[in-house]
Amino acid sequence: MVSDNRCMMCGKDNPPDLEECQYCQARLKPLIISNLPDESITRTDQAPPAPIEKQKSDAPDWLQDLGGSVHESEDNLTSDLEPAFDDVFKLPDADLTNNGQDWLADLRVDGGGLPDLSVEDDTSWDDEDKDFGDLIDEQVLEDRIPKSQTDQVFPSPVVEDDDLEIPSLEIEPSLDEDAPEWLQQIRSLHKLEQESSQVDDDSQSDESFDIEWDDNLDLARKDDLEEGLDRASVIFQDDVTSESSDEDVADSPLGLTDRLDNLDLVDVDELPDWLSSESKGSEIDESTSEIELPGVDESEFVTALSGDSVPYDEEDDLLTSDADHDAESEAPEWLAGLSSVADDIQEEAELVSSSEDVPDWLAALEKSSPEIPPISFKEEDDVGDLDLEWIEEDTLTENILAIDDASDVLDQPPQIDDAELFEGELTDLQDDDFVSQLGLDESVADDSDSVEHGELPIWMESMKPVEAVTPEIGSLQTAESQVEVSGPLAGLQGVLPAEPEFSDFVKPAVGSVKLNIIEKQHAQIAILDELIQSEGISAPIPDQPVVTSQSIFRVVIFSILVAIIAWTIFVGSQSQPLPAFPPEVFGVNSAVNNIPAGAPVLLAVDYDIGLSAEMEAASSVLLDHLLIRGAYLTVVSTTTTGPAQAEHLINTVNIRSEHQYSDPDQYTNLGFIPGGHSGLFAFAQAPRQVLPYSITGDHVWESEHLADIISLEQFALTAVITEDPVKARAWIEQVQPMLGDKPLIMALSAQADPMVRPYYDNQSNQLQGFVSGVAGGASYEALLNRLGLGRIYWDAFTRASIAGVVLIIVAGLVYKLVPKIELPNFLAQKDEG
Amino acid sequence: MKFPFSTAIAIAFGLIVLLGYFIDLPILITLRDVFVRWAILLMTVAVIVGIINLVSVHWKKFSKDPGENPYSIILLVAFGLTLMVAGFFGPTGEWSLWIFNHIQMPVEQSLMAILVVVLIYSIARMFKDRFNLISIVFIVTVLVMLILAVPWFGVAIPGLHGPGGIRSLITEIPAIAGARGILIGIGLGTIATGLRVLIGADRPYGG
Repeated sequence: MVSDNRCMMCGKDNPPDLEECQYCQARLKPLIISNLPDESITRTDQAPPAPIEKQKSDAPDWLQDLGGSVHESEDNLTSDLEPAFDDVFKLPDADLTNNGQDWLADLRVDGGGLPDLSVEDDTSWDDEDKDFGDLIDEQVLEDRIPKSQTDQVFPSPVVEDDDLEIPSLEIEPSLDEDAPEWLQQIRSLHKLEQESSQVDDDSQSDESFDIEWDDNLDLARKDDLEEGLDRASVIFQDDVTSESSDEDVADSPLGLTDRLDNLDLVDVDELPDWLSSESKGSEIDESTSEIELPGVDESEFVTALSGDSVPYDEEDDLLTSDADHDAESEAPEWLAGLSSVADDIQEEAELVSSSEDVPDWLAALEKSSPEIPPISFKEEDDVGDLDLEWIEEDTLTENILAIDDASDVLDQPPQIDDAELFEGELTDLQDDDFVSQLGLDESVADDSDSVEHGELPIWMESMKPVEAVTPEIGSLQTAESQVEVSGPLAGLQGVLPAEPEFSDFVKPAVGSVKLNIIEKQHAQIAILDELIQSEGISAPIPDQPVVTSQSIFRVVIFSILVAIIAWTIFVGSQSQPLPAFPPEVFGVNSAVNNIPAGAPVLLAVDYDIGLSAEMEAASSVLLDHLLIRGAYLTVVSTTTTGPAQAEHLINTVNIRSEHQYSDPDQYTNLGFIPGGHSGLFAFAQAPRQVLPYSITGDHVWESEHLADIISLEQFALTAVITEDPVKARAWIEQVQPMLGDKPLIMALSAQADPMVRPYYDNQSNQLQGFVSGVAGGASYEALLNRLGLGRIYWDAFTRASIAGVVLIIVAGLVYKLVPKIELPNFLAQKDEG
Repeated sequence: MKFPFSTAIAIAFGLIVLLGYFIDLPILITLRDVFVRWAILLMTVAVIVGIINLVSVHWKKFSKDPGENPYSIILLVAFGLTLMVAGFFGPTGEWSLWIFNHIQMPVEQSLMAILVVVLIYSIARMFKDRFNLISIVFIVTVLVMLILAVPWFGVAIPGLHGPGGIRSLITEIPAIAGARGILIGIGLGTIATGLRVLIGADRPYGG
């Protein structure tokens, strides 16, 4: 029993559903990339396998064996080949069944489902189809449809290569590409219709898809087509009958039945019922089965024999219709060419059939069938084995061509009447190279010589770039076809090269770098290049003039201010009225007045040296008041220059107020408190620990004035002299909480006034009072009726302020109203802002 | 992963000092005071380190090219002399105060005096170079405050000068409002900075 899925490598049987051999892991079904877009649809549309199996069981053993062989071979063939070969062999089967009528009926069925007959051209088709029967006239077919036209649809199905798989791969895409433009348009339209229908109903099955295109076909057009096909079949049948010597057996346009009949491989009467009843004269194309043509699907094969309508496949129908048309048109010529071959085959078949009832070759075939390669177009020395060379080189090719020619005629649109265009395309197809590619007989090829060569039609020209832009397929096939010649992988195909392929690369051609630019762009490039080049070059700095308008203006401002202040100090003017007494000054005055005589007072001197003039004017009166009160001053500072400034301030007050304060009897200087806010907080927590010694190194905390001082709240008053609002805030926030109910007063710069005033105005009364700037000092002096630095500075300060306001307004108006001041030549060299 | 020792130490010390302010535990208060004193000592050392760095930088500059860095040698000489005088006579010694009173104070006060001239000149230039809305507001504010700060030619105009004058209103309302806003912002920023340090998000100490 022949296995359904026999491994081609080890020869062992495998379950039919396996794709790889379970013994040797060899692939049972070859992987071949399909180029048919509707392959999946085609395969799913094929007849279900169950009836086929049933038919196989009814068939005799020899037929089952043949079927098994075919089945074996079909597993090794690509699915791409199936539609093509289905079309090829379906047609003769149908023809065998009804003496040329059933195969045409089959064509009707297939033709009825021709999707290429788009609705778009229904009107024209209806008009032209009326004369379609007349079109398929014998003479017309001979004149207008030469054999070479089959090359358009089916250029090299068999003859191009010994291996049928490879040419099949090349044939399938060419089916679409070689088709005439009108056929491609129809196909594209049909595909669009299919896509739109699929979008409308995604759940539609593949079978419903077949029904869909079938339903879309115009019935009237179908009738016209069938009528034409009938007439064409009659013509073909008559023609074939006249050419064939055997009158008993109906012959198909392909002549395959004729050859099978001559071979006497199968007695028609011995055929089973299923085969004989449904396909009369079903001399099944055993040659086809024996050949094990690739892509021959057994199910389709048997289905075609049974006369059932084959599920629609776009490519199949196309090929079938084309083949029918060609067969009808070319039948007289190719049949004449086949007569000699048919005689030889008949003789050979008679030898085989005369040996015994059950032919030996069949028995030998059963034995040798497992070893038969899937594609057995080779000559066999054994008599029992069929010599199928005639099919390979002559008959099969011509039959296919004839089918294609016939299908072309059937598919020919109304433009077929355009004789000039049609003949031009046919002439192009009769090119010698093309014919030789197909492997046509000399007689066939000679027929094309009589036709003048013309220019390639547009549709043919458009085919050329297709191959040019798809070199990857060729390179891929080439790479896969390379066989390793050395090493442990010798003999294997598709082995990755051990050497890097880029080592063989050549240097790419150097293209021109010259830019196509205009003159304006050239100029812009030059400017840009100049700018870039100038970036690295430092611009020369022009010599600054000694005197400029700005420097003159500054000198003028300085001169005016100095003159006013110096004149005021020199004159000793005190004519300017003192400002009113602010409440904060009253707070300072009352706080100082409330301390007892000789009470310890903590004095912080935390102002910068640059602001010492203002700070001395504001604080000297406060210090004078404290000295008047006889307070014992304990001086600290959070700035490094604080201790020296404290000494300077006390000395200044001593001189101006005629005090004799001295260290350590009236005051002590503890020096600098390091640590910023943290140091200040630590000093507020434990003053003895932070500053245990005075700046002179004395143990001042053991003196009689400070012996009772353990914390800051034991000081009667804390006075801070600072110009910095941050320092003032630090004293208020870090030290004031440690003072208890003892007052905190400050002598501030005018710039710190806004920042410190909130602490004075708040409800918590963190600050009892402060003296702000020269104005505050002058007010405090006026309150104490003392003449101090505040009062001395007040007139100069007032006049300098007025001078400043006047200078700002005047200079601003000059700059605003006079755009550019005309300077003398020696000053006009440079006037920068 | 490397253990963040420095971060852990910073967070631990920060939490102890912070808890020492809120929890009246003798041990926490003692630890807080000790840590604060350590901070004071470290800051004092930082001042010394800064002085050493200043001297070394200028010494390198002077050593590299004495002719191109004359101020470096002046700084080094002044530093040496002041250090010797203050070290020998003390910070409040006679010669130390002489240096302070006759060198440092005049120099810094002169720089401050120059600031007056520069400010007046800059405001005047603002009319020409950057005369926009902000400049106008700034100029008007300066002029109003200067004019109202002092009585003009000995005349104090009621409603302009004095505690109830326009200057006082400007000083006490918008200026104080802005100052309070700044103070609140400083307080919030201080809290945020402290929390970032405590949770380790901000690491000014590195690591």
